[in-house]
Amino acid sequence: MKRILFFMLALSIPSLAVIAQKDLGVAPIFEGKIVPQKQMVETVVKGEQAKSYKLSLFHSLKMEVDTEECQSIEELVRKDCGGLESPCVQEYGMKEGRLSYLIAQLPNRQDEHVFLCYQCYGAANGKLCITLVYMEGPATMQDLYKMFKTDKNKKK
Amino acid sequence: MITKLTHRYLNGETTAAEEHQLLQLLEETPSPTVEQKALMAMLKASPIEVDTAWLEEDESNLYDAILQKRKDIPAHHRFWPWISIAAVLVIVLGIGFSLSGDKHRDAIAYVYGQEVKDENEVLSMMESTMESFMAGPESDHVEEQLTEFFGK
Repeated sequence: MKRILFFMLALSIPSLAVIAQKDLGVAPIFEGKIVPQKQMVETVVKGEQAKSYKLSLFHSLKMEVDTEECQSIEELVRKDCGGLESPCVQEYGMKEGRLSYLIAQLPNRQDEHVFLCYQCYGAANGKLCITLVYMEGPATMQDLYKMFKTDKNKKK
Repeated sequence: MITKLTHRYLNGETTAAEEHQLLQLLEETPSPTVEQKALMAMLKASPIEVDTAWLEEDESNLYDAILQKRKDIPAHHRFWPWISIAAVLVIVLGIGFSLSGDKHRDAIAYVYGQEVKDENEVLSMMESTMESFMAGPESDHVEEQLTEFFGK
């Protein structure tokens, strides 16, 4: 019986790596509880593929939402960052009274840097397009800027 | 003496006389431990009656007789506990692997529920997403990326 339990526990361990953000307020978004996963474009990169970007986990979502869903998601993002004026927030932008863009570095998790990125734009059909990215890894913010080829200065 | 006899008794090496002696020694012990009390109870229990009928047939081949008696038990009767444990382990491992499915891939993407099979395409999606963030909020690049994905 103990052996069976051990094997079941061992098998369940790999599946947990993808939901490393489960302690955050944005976890329900990544679990498809606010917008169903079939209505999103979801990308997960981990393991050896992520290592080349100095990351251990990259998890992004792109979705079209209505105003209410956008507000819920924005609230969760702001809460995880501790507010827009928190030192965690590296950059943010506002448009028409709502958060349009945010890059934040959250408290480290197990000696790895944690980043949360958010974008929100109006779509042609009247809905709002949100992109949400969660990353973990040894990469610093400067590493991310260098890797994704931009020379931009930080500004708020 | 008690310790020595106890070891021999537990190994099944004692004669009836030694068992009797051990019981006497234990009863004379002023404060027997829990283990000694259990041992006394075992010694006082009725002796097991060994079926010697088959032994009388041919006492010289005692070992062969035991072996033959064991062989007479069908194999599935003897091995069923191990077979059932192995079967459960195979089922559990099979379920585990089938549930893990594509998660053993390092780069996975789903576009409205449809899996993206090509890992290079997944990496390309990742890079496009990050480039749009790093380009800043006012970049046209953002609109291109969004169009590229939502236009599919």
